[in-house]
Amino acid sequence: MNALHPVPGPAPASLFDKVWAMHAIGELGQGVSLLHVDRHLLHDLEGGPRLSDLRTSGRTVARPDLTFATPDHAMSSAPDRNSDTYAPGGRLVRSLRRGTAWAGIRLFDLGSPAQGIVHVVGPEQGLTLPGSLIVCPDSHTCTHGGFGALAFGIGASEVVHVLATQTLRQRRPRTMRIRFEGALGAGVTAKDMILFAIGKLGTAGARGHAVEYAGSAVRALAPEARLTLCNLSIEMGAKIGMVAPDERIYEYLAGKPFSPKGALFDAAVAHWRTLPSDDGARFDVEHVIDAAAIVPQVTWGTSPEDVLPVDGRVPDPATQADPARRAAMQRALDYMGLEPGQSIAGTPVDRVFIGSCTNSRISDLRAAARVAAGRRVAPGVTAWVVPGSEETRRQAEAEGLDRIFLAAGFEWRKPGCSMCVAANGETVAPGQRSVSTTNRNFVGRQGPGARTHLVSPAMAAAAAVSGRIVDVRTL
Amino acid sequence: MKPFTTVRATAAPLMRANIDTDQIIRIDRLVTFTRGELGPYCLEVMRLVPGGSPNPDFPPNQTRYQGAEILVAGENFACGSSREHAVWALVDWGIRAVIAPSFGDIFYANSFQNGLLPVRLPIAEVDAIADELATCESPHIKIDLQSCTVTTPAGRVVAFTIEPERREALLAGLDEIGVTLRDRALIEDFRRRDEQSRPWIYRQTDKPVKKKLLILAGDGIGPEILAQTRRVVEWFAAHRDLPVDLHEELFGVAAWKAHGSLIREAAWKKVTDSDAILFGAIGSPDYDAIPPAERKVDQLLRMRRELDLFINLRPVRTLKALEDASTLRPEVLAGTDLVLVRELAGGMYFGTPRGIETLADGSRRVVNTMAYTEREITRIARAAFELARTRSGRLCSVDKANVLENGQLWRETVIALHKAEFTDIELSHMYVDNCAMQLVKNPRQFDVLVTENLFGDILSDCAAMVAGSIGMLPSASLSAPAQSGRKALYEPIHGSAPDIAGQGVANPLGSILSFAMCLTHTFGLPQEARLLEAAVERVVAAGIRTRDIAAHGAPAVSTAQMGDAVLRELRAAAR
Repeated sequence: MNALHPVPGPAPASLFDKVWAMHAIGELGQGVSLLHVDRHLLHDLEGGPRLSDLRTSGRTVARPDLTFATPDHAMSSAPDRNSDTYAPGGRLVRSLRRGTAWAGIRLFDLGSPAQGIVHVVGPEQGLTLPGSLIVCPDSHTCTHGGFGALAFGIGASEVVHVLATQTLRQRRPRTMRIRFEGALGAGVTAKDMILFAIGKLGTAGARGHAVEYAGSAVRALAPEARLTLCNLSIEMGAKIGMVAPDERIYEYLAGKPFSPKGALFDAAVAHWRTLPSDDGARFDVEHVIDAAAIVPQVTWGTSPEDVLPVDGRVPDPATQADPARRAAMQRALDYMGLEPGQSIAGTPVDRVFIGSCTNSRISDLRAAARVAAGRRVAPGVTAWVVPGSEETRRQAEAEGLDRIFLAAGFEWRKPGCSMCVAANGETVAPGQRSVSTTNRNFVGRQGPGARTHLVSPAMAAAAAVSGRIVDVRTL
Repeated sequence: MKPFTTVRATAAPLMRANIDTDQIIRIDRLVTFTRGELGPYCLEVMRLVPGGSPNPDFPPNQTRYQGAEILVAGENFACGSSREHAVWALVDWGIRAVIAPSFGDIFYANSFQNGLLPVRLPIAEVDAIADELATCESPHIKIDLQSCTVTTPAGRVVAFTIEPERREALLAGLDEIGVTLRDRALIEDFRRRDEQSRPWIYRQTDKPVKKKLLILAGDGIGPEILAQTRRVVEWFAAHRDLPVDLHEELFGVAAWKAHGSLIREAAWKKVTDSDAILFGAIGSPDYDAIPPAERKVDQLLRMRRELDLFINLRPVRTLKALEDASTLRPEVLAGTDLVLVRELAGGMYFGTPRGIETLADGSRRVVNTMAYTEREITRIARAAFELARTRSGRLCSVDKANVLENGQLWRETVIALHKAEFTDIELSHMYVDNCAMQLVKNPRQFDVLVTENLFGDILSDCAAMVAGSIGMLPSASLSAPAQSGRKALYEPIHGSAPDIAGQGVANPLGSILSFAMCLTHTFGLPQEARLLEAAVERVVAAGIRTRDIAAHGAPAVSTAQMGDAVLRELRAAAR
């Protein structure tokens, strides 16, 4: 490996360029760098098994102090849950407990005040810092880019590599900037922005790229909304999505349990201020989106790119020239039980799910509660709210959001991935239609035969109280 | 990993775009099955129809493509989630290579980690190969990684490109961790510089927080064994970046001689300020020379009480090399690895009323009181349950519920806590008399044991014989776990051994192993603890013995030579 001797060059650099260079230990040739990992996040599905792989190989964890774990994927969200409410999850969480104790890794265990969805816990605990490099065996690790971190999902073998070395071999991606210019309309959220972008660019539109989201509409987003925006980068094919950090992020991080304190925080902020892309920074690809043109989005098919404005109509495969695309659309419509040309609004729903690493933060719950307040979940609809973390749950309960949801007929549950992954016994029944604040509407994602429509939290709450897909702006 | 050179095999077409990893392997299968077991579930949502029979519309199900080891797929194959299980599922199903116009980024990288070759070809070429699969006589493809070529069913030879280092790694079946660790020095160098420029990544406050560690060597052989333990502590500080602030104070007879007090006020302040105390031993014939008023207070008990050290951990592990040192048969001992959790702040040793009284008829009567509150039982049980979580997940609670009300409340309280917070732990109960027998009959049955103070005192001595030698056994006394502010005292369980004090022949390993417990419980560094424990084990296995553990007539080393040996092994292990 060749060591790096970074020379500050005069060339304008992007946020991504700067953070990448800061973590490059050396070059391995062919565009592959050995990168230092600042934060390695683990969860129940991969944590215990990979720590066990490492242990079997006779190696140890290089930096247990930079590694953090919390169970989320296979945990029940039932209000009275325990480790074994979903039995296979019990096995995984036991293995995570043993593995983290063996290595001295901090575990935010079930029932502890910081447990939650790993991508909600990271920012909330102050583990997700601007300019840091974060990896986790989960593709939605790109979420953390909302705070200006370089964060991406890794595979099982890579987890073991990071555990053993606190480094990762990584090919440098190309760069893309998506600028959302203009002001968002009322009732339009970060979730609608990113679904809109995926609809335009497609699920492979940003493959091989690190995406920076910029423009006035992005700068106007609150910290948590930036996490939502970056969360679906992988649905556009990009492992990495980032937003330049700014004062609102520093304010958010001040005083969080794991963020730097005192003079160290000031030094960090001074450094973070140097991170945003320089004027004239070069991107391999650039897109501009008119933010004002975005309306609340709803997916109609089985890929996040199958997305419509809520006032739109389900597309007709017959209008597609490409036979493969035509067949795929027809398969999607058959699976979803939709007819070409029908209005997406008005489609009756069976389940509503408000949660997941996309949309389970306090601001999401507040937005949903505003819609739910004083209304009732429609007859025949089962609606769940699963807060993203214990911290969020406590905050929501302190604000009385739980009582609003319960009074409206929603279930108020315990933190975890729940119905986003259907790996915890919580699924949508075959053929049932679910309106969900999650990030994937793949075939079977919420359970075999489940029909998923992706929307924002307010839109999900609106569907719950209306019993059908509805434009939240008309409520 | 098996090297990959050439595959010549049946290939099957799967010409859909955007087949995501959720379709390749359903996430609920990952919860139940692991690598090696995923084949039957690979692509099940397409391969099978509801009910589980093969879907005739799924091309690889056709007879023509049976036994395919190569997939020819559409664009953006395996997009979506990062799960490496998608690669494992394909490999388990028998696939060795996938040819597609493009792949999901994470899947592409994962493939190389598992010996699955992803071949990227232009879309027109992939379409042509799919056509040939359907029309040519036999749907065979050859992929040669040496020459980077695909030989199509029609016999055309098509070149593909692949990153050279990935190709080499696949050809050699290389383990990337090993390759990376060859650059350990470069990585360390980077980290040192990075910690200077971005300290907030590595710590939260300006100055690194050091744990305060106080050595109180005490009486008898305490000073000579702690001198060796101190060398070990200093080694960890110098070579393993252990954040320690080390102090030492006189305690006991030595303190009396120097300051006229068993522990002077300044030292006591350090006791209460420290995160942990490494204690040597207490007890000496010299105490007889100290005025009774000055030695009325047992300073060790005072420390336990003031620091609220109510959790006493006594790990007992049989070292293979020392099996012969026990009076029990090796086959009974072999593989024993248990921890006795003893309640240390309540029960008979502290209960009142207590004392000897003279009755009206002139005869005497004695009373001791075994008192426990639910709160006291709950907090020690919680500590034991939490320890069990980090081990095998089994806890045996020991009481005398068949005779004593004390045991009844103990058992009820443990059961209630189990139900409320620790249903993931397998809880069993045993009467203390039976437990004493079981400990020497079949010690391997135990993992974590929890019991009250007096029973724990007795059982821990019983368990000591299971380890072979009392000279080797460490212990930890802890206050309630807290993110910060937990207090702890670590000491070997052997006494002050005044008969051999000052001769330099005592065994320091019990004390050194107590420091290993300190690494786990005070510093939160269990891996460092194992580094030390492994060093001790290698020393003993190499036949280096102090007098107490040397075979009859075999040569023995001095206390300092034992310390030398441990440091030598540590240096070797850390390289």
